[in-house]
Amino acid sequence: MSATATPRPESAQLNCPACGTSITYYDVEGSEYYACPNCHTYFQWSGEEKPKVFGKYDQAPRTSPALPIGAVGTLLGRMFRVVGVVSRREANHPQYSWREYQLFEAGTRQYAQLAEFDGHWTLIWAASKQDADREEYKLPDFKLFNKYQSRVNWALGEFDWDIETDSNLHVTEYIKPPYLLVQEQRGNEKNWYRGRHVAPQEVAEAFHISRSALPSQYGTGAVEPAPGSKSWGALWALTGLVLAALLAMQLVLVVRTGKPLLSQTIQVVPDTTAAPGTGRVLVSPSFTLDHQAALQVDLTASLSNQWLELPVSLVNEQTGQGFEFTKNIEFYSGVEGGESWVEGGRDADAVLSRVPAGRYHLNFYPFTEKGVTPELQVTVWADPALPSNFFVVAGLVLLLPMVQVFRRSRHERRRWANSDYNPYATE
Amino acid sequence: MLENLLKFLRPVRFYALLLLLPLGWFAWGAATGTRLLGDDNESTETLTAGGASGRSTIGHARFYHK
Repeated sequence: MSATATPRPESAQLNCPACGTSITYYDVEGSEYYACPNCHTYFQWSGEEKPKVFGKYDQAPRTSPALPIGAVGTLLGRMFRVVGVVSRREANHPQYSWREYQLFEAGTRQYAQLAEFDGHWTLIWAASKQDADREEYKLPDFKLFNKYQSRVNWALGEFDWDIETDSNLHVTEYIKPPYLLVQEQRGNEKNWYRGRHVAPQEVAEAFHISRSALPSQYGTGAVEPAPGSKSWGALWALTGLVLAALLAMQLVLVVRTGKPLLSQTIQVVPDTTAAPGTGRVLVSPSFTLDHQAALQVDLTASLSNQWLELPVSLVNEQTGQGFEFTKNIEFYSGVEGGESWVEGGRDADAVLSRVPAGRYHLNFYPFTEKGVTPELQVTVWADPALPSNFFVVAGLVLLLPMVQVFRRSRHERRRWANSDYNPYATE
Repeated sequence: MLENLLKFLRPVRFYALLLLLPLGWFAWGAATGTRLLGDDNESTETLTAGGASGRSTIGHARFYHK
């Protein structure tokens, strides 16, 4: 025995009871409420002879909506047809207005909704048992974003429920970008919906229209992903790996420094033949550098409320090549008003880059106050760890992550600016 | 495990290549004994070795060699 199924018509027509315009509708078995695309009369018709007219939406735009009624597109792998559009506003904040495109999937006879607010798109569908356990939709992970009641501005197309009764709904939205959870409560009855951000480009490609035909974007969408969201975890993982490698290299360099090439205490002696305060030229013992390296010269002067200007030259005894630097060391301290104070320091250091291998000594040309003869502790290190190199490169490695942190923070603040539950609000 | 890590890092693979530049710069500094932001050398004779930084003050223009 075989049953012959009557093919379900893909669409049907009815005439607007007000203006007579022929209206094509697609959910032939389900749709019962209609808004005429020509005169915007809202009426109910379920096969009876005379439709029940509720009224007319005077605010309806004269131009076609961004997604025209009847347009077919594939979103998230499902083929939908746009069968209706409702423009709504918040009852308490009428400046917040958005559009809801009713998407009808003919194969499953299921509906979804594509909501557009300020150019930001969200696909919303009724929660079902099939996807109840999906990890991305666990309510505790979501943040309360908005609570509102809505009013209809205007509508076009067909609906399988009375859109005006939605005014009684208490809607609560929770977000975890790019995901959305919506609770609609009517009395004790609660219904849950799930949503996901859809990029305008995805919408345009799905419905084969130009991106420029879609509304321009303003601000940040409620569930619009922050910049770099797709690579956020990978970016920090990579940054962590690179910083760890850098730190490991730096530790190797610290260990490599080893013993000083020279450690010597030198006494400053006044030069009686020169101007007052001028010291005799002091010469350090020689030391050998066996490979090209950076040299760090540490200086400590036994000063007490005194200053010392100290030009230093490093001389290669074989080639005569010289490196020079000058350090001003000053140390002052005292007690004033019962409190002790200190200014300056007794230590100074200098780094010389890429000093070739060879035998070297240091010449010092001290100049200080008359009668001051401080003791000078000199230490020369080869291959110092050069921490500034580490910090410069670590800064470069952290540059992009920091820029992304700033951009994401700005993005979040703009997102929450549209919410009554703004965690960034100062009042 | 390494395969999973590489898969996880795939979205930033080009940035990873870019990061080789600062890492290479660091390694070059360590290998040649160069302070990347310049050293304290004021000698015009050997300035090219590392370049002068703003850390030192210019002292006397008196040069004595042993």
